Amino acid sequence: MSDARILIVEDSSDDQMLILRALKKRKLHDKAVVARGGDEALEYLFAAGLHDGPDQGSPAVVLLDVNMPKSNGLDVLAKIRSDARTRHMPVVMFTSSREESDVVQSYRLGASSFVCKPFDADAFYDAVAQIAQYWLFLNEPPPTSS
Amino acid sequence: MKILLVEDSQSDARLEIEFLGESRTVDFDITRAERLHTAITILDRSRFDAVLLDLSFPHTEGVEAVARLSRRFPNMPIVVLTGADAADLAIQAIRAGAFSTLPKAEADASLLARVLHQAVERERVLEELRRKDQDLQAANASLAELVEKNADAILVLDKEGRILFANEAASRLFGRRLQDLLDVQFGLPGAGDIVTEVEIVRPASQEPGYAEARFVELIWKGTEGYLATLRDITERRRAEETLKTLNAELAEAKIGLERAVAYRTTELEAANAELEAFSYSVSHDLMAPLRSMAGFCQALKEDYGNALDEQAGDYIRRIVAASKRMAELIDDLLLLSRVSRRPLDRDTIDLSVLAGDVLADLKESGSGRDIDVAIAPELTAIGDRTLIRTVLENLLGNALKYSGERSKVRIEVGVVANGGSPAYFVRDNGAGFDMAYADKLFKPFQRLHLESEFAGTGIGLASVARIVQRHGGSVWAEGEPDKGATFFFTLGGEEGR
Repeated sequence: MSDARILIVEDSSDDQMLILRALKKRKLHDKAVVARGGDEALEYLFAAGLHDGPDQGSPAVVLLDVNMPKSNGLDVLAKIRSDARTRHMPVVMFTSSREESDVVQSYRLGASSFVCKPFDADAFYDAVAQIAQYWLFLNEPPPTSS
Repeated sequence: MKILLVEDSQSDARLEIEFLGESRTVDFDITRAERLHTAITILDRSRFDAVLLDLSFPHTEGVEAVARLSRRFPNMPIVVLTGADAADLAIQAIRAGAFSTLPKAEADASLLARVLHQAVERERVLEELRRKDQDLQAANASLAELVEKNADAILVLDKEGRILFANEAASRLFGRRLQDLLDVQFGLPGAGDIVTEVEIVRPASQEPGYAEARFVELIWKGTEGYLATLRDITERRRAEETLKTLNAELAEAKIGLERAVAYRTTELEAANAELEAFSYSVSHDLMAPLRSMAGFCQALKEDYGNALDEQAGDYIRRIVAASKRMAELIDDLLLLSRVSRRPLDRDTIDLSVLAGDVLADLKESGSGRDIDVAIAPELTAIGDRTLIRTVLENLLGNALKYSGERSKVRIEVGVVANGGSPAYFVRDNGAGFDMAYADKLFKPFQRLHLESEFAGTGIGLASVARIVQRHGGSVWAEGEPDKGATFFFTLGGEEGR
């Protein structure tokens, strides 16, 4: 699982930096691929090649922000779940929103997990690190091309 | 049979009495009067069945006597004896009222008796007829009275619809004298119409009106026609029309109202959706940059901590603290917004159990101070469980927070009677407050303590007030500085159910 990747879908450059910083603290930043929005994430997943570097297969987990311009997190989640290649891909919603409707919608669309971005910096780092550890190393990924 | 014999001849009288005495069929009781005036006196005094009057001698009063008797006693049968060849007298006597005449010479015993008998018998029959006629007239009068006094107008029409008869009510209904109604062309109902409405001009006001008319066929004086009964239904029709108009207006008003309600509902839904969108963007758009501020402050401290002096470190701490405080404010505002728009889901709640749960949670997250808790048992209320839990979290949280300086903290939860609905209360022996500021307690962002004394945003009690309001209840507080505070709330009593 050494080439397992974590796809970070996040439109806020601040949050991108904070997430990468959290991963760096655990020396996991080289596992990260960043999509700066929903559309970019979909391109990465389904039209691979627009990104630097070779396509190294499906990410072990998608860390998906909810509130983004154009294709938001729920749109991306719906597309992931409706495509045979990505139907079982682990998707963790990672958002500032604590709206009940977002939580309900996410699970209805098939989210693997829903995590609120903690406000406190240490708690934030901790949350990112735990998610990465769990999905990259602990979780048994679904068989490829399922 | 009592007979009065008027006979001036003594001998003739004897003869006649003798004749009548021979009769075997009738028993005659005969009284004799010599003169007419004597006869009248006798007839005045007692009843006789017939008078036998002798007019055979020229010197008697003649036919005038018949007339006088007949006038005075109209129902008395009079039989006249005449002389021979007195055909003229006989006819005059009959005209004057005699029943029959007999030539005296021919009047033998049996003839005289038979004629008298017939006269009496005829009178008996006549009397009976007169009585029957009287009965008939009385019955007729009663029937006529029924028709005349009937409140409904009654008309009899011939086959062409001309009025043959009208009663008083008809005269009133049409405002015409009875004789002016007769022969007037009234008209007939359409084929098969038994009940119909006709337009009338009401005589009192000269305004158009309506009458309900019922027609039945009848035979009137031997020919076919119609009996029509009419009743003025103008008032009823007016009342019905007024009712119809009112109903139509009511229906229109209802439609208008429904439209207004639908419009308002749409507006409210739009406003709610806007509020929803607003709180959503508040939670995301305001929180994200705050978190960035706190996050990068942390990064600054971690990465450049060595390069910064103590003053710089303090500034960073203040930035972090300020952003954290703002985040709390935003959270509380979101809570306030949530308690305002969340639909109420009423249920029976065991407040004693709920208060116990909330206190246990609060104590767990707080310091392990010595707290004396007294919760009245079996406090039940009807309300939204989640929202009432928020109320208790705030009130009990405050009670704990503002008792921070006490060595012996005492918190009490109970109920007092408050008019119709029970008032639940949460009491502490903490910092309390000055009653002069009691009205500020439940307003958002209003605080009675410095942030350095007790942390808080001033939203908690505003949320409590909002929740209680939404349940149809009210909230108030009593307190005294350094003695403690008691917060009361009701949940709207009966209508809260």
